Amino acid sequence: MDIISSWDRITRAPHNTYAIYWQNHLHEYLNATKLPLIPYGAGKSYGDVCLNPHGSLWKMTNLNRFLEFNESTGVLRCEAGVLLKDINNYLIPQGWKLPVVPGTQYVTVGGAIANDIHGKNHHCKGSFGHYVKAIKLLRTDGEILSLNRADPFFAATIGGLGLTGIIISADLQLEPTDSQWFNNEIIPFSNIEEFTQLSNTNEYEYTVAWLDCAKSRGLFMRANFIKNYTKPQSKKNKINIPGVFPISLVNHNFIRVYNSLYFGRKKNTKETAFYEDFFFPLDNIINWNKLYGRKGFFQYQCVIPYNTAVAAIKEILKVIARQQMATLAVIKSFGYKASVGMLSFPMPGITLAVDFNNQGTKTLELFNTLDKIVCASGGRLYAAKDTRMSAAVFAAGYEKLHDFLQYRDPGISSSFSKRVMGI
Amino acid sequence: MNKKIVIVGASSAIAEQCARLWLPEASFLFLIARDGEKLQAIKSDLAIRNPKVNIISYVLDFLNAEEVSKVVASICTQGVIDIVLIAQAMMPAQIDCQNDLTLIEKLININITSVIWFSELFLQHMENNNHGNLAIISSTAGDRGRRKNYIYGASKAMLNCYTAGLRHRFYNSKIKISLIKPGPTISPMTAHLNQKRFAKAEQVAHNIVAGIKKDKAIIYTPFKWKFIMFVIKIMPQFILNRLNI
Repeated sequence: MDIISSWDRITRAPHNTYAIYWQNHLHEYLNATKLPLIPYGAGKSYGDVCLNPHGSLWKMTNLNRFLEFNESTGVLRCEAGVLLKDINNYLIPQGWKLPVVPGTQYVTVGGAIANDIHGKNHHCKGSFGHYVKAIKLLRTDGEILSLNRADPFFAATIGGLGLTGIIISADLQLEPTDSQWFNNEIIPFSNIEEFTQLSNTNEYEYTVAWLDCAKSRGLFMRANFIKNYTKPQSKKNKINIPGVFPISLVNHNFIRVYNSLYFGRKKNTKETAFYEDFFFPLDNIINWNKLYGRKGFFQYQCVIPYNTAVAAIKEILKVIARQQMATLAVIKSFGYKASVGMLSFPMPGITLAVDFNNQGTKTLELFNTLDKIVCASGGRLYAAKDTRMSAAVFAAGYEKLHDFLQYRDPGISSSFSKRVMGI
Repeated sequence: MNKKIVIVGASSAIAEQCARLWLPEASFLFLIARDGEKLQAIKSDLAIRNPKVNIISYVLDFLNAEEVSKVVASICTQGVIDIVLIAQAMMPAQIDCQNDLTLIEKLININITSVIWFSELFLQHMENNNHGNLAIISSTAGDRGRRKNYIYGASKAMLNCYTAGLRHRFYNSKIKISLIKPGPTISPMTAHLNQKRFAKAEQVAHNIVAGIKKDKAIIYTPFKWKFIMFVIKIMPQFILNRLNI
């Protein structure tokens, strides 16, 4: 039994783990596994979608080979354990990049599909699922399915939290690139209305805002790739947090000081940034989650439709300011491209992601209050960041849940599915 | 870059990671393995990571002397070889080895016979050119016989002695011999053990590639095993007897 946790380090539980190395041994792995199981990639989701305490867990990161690449069309077939980092490292120099990346490149292709991840360019490009052309899926009864976009199983698997089967490989549509550098402009705003005005643009492919929850002010970042531009990249040493502190280092005093310094230093700046520094700033601090100490931390991520977003987010920020200080908050507007997956999180609206120290009951009560605001506004929560939402809240946000359940693999189960779907 | 690199036992977890790390400096990668499906998957993967490298694969029975000779000869006609890494091994559970004589024979054939065959044949080529690095993957298990893994350990101990002989043979030449001693490493070979504190194959591979680059004679990886095995080696038997290792 190995102790496995996800990124928030709240649930750390023993699992029977099986490392998966080869496609030509899949049935042997199945025969050796006591069902139900849950597939596990790089463990960068925050909640319990990737956990199956006291049960079986398939570690997929060794199934990490590139299989085929079409240099004319940019379609890459790769195994599910390939990290997005490796796709960037090896294919960007060959002139191709992933159209959508999340906040860290240390996620697997399987995890990116299962959570239908989104990035700073959702308003232009949609989510990861839009660029998946085919999936090879292993069901726990031994059947291997080759899914294309026309299959209903496909829509169930994109954003399907690993519950339809084990993703073995996928075909991804990359897009051409001739640059690895961004022009990044940082503009301050002092309320949510100003944020929405700044967001109302297609001139910039990449936008996101950092939010100082206590003061409802923030910094709006907007950027585009610089075409045909290159310059020597300065080598950055990554900081590796060596151990877990007994208490959180991300406390109130630190947050107040950090927020003031960050806002003061970064506002009204223009910079040229290398893609890794722009997309994945926190990847420079490996294991930054350990700064939150033994109790771990929570993230609350919701999306609220545009017609109710401003009012709802203002209310959410008021509640947070009253009940518990946030440690980090990010806000972004989603685009109108319809999500592919039945359980995909993005929808047209504003998404807010807020980190909190784990203060136990106090934090959970805060989240219950926030749930009411989100549900009343027609919004929903992101399963990939969740460790506590109720079945009712999930069902309220995902109208296709009932359709999805018929595609579920009965041999796969997670803490999340048990809590939220009863299976 | 322009190195010609040979990896024998290329479908092993550590060897696969070494191949990835060597891509930037290789012009040719010759991959030799017993399992054709696995080797094809590795070859396709490497070719996409770096399309500029020539990747040539060979699938054969490692216990067929004629086939082994043919493959080595074929590779050596393609130019001066810079690095040969010999990585094949099998590690059945100790208790199975104690009870199954045919398993012992298989283990010796793969871990010793096939390693020495490839080694001696490639060294003939290297000696003719007075050039090259030959690296053999042994194990910390070969440093001292212990009840938990002594049959596998014995096969690796033989490789330790063999490589020491090679070092003596080539001490006055430009041929460098490296003996690699990984500690317990996460891989399919060790899947039947508790892998909780084992090293990652990527980390071990990184140390191997760096060690060969520096022409190191003995490479413990991770490095801490150099000190751990020093203690194990000098430990009086009556103390070792009490340990469950």
